[in-house]
Amino acid sequence: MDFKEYNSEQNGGISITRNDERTFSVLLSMSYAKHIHDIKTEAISYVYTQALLAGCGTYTRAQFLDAVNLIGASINLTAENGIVTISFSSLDTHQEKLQAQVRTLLMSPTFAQSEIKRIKELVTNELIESKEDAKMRSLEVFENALYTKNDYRYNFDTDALIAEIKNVNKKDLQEFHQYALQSKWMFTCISKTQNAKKTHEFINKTQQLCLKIKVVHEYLETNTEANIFAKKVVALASIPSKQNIEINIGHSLPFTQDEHDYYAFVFGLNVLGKWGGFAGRLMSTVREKEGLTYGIYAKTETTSRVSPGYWRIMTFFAPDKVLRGIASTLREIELIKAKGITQIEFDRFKTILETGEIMRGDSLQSTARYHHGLQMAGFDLEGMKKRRAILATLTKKEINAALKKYLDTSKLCIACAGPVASKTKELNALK
Amino acid sequence: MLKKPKKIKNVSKKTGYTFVKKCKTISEYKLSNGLTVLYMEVKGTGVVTSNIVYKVGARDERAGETGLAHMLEHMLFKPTEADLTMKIDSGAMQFERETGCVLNANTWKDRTTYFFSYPKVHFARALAIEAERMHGVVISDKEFLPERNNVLSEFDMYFGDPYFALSVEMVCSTFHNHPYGHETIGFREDIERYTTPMLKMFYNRFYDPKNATLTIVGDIDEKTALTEVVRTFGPLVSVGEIVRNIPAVEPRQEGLRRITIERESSTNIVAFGIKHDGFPTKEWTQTQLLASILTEGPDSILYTKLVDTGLASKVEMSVEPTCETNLGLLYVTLTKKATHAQIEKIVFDVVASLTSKDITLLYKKVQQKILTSEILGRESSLAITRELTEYVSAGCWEEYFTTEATLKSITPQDIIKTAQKIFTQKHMSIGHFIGKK
Repeated sequence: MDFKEYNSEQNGGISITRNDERTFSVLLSMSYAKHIHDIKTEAISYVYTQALLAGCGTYTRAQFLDAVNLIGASINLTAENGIVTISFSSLDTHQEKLQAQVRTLLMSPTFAQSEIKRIKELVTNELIESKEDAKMRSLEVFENALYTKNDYRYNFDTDALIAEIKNVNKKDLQEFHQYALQSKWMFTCISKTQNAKKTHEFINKTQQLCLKIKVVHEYLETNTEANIFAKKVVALASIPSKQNIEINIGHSLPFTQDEHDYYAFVFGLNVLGKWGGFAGRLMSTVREKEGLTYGIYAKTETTSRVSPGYWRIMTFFAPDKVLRGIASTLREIELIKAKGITQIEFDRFKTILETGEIMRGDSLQSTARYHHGLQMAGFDLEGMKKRRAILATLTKKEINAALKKYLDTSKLCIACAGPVASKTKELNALK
Repeated sequence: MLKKPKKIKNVSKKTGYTFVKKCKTISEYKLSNGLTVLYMEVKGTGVVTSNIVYKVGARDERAGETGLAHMLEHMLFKPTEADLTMKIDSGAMQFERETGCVLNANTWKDRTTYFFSYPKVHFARALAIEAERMHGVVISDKEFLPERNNVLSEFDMYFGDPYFALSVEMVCSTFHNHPYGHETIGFREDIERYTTPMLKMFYNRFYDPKNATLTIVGDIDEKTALTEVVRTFGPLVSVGEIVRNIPAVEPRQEGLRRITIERESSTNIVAFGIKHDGFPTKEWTQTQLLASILTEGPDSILYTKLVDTGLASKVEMSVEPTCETNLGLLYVTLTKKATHAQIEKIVFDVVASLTSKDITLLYKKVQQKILTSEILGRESSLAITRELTEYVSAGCWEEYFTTEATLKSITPQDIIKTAQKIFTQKHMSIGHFIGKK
């Protein structure tokens, strides 16, 4: 596969191409939450992702769906963590038709009143159902412990959000749409080699047609700092209908992806709980040796070149195992902080990193997602190369120093969602 | 005393394998011990996925031993005799920990499958591990008892989900005799009572080269691949024909079957259980197309009738690839505006009144979506082997290439006839999940 990069003040992108590629896919993102995180904007974003697909130009919603589906294409939209992402794909033979449909979508969404009414009810029903999603609730209470209300990672109360959704109107959606369009457009696309330029031309032209005023804001930045804990925090969400208690354990971090310590810490965290598979220490101990859970993993999240993020361990325990499970997890965190990683682990995880690079070669889609994630964190191709070089040249000493310095078990947040009622006293005693 | 292995005729003494057939980009070979090998080259990625499918699954379990095939799948990641000699935990786990390869496995009604996906430099190692664990896993209390706890954790993870809880009850009520009548993970009561001898017997009975298909997809040339296959799998001895349980025939269903689950929850669901033909018959595809037309996407029929009107928060339908007639499930998640009885009536009325004219445009869209998804989905060696597994399990891997031809042979009228046949109440089961606050 070949890579080509584009960058201007208005947009930036990476084309991943192959001569014989039969498909065409684009991930196109725009940030909208540089300074805004309030319940009104959050409510609008929920309605927006459906409303944008509910009619545009001369198409009604049904007509637009027909047009997209009859060429076997798909268009999907998300708005989370302050970023709107449109992903669209088809066979390469339909690239121009699909591009035309996306242009119409972005240039002239209808936001019809009847559709807004329908969507508000739909979104409300989805939110009601989400109240029982223990995995999601555990992450929500975790993030809410770490951040204040004006941080984009803060999750508003579901009932309050449902009440606010009732107030969303056409003008709100139009303004939100314009605001999102005004950020720098970042894209990653997959196509046949000879069609790569067509995609960039499409992005340029569409942006010109959409924008009423010049680009005014760049990457997502957070203007808030994480909460400082004097001691451990325990955050509980009771969902009695569940069998297991979903857990998130971690805390905020002080560095960005522009700092060397980020890479050292991430390497060490991988050793502790590599996301997916069985290679992490937590899987060997808490799952394999102690039989306390089915899966337990760790990762950093929301850290960009500009703003720090957090790290977390994600798992679940049956209620009768939750205290032992948390104790075992805390033990492993203490151990890696105190003793660091071993030489064997260092050598293994270096290989694992290299393997990860090779494995991406098996899938263009996976390569595109990976590159787009790094783009949105603020990296161009050269930056991604430097990043890989840093990871490849880390030393065990640096990694262990970062673990010792930044892991702080006295100030962890332990978030639990599920049938916690019978364990509330013991869980709160963990503070 | 082991029986002498039957030699497959015409196996080349020079190569150790015999060519069976080629269909488009996949070639089939056979070793003298009965192992089937499928090979497909994908140049330039640097990655290979090797996958082995054993023709054993939930259907091979009797009452009291449900979930054994799945438990055994977990045990295949425990140490083998060779691992113990080298004093390592498990060759498979060690492989992942040392190289970062992708590994996993899954069990379903008719088959159990294991795969590794890795940089091609590790090809020989991956095959050696797979060959070793076909016969060499040490099944002992020391390894089994902690792993059973992990399976119980997995069970608890699923059982808390109302959709899973409904499907367990519905397959039980649908199949009184056929072994599809329990979920692959089994009943908790059976899992708690497994013994090491039970596992060993199951392992020795079904894990055999004659009962396995090895698939190799990726950036490795055919000669190198097959040479390594013969070197690692060739010495394995087949113990003879696989002894299966006497095939059970499900008695005729003579009326609608109903089940109810009540739990503390705010979720309410109506599930419609419909019987569909085995995979990959034309009838199975017709059922899958019907499922898409009814529930897939915001322009699908039941989405429009139920979700757009605020009666449901979601609709979804699963039609799984099984060798024989199985239960497909249509789930409707209710909102506060709807009752279970109301949803039942609407769904039956909608299906009964469907005409070819209603579904012609939808069918065209679904066809295009399927053909595009197939190309998009077959873009990595891992995705290819995952999809191929179901065709291997059904005993007709060549059908992997027939989607377009099958779709072209199906008309909207065929789909209407399928709807009328499978949505006949006396052949169905209906489940209500009632959330009690």
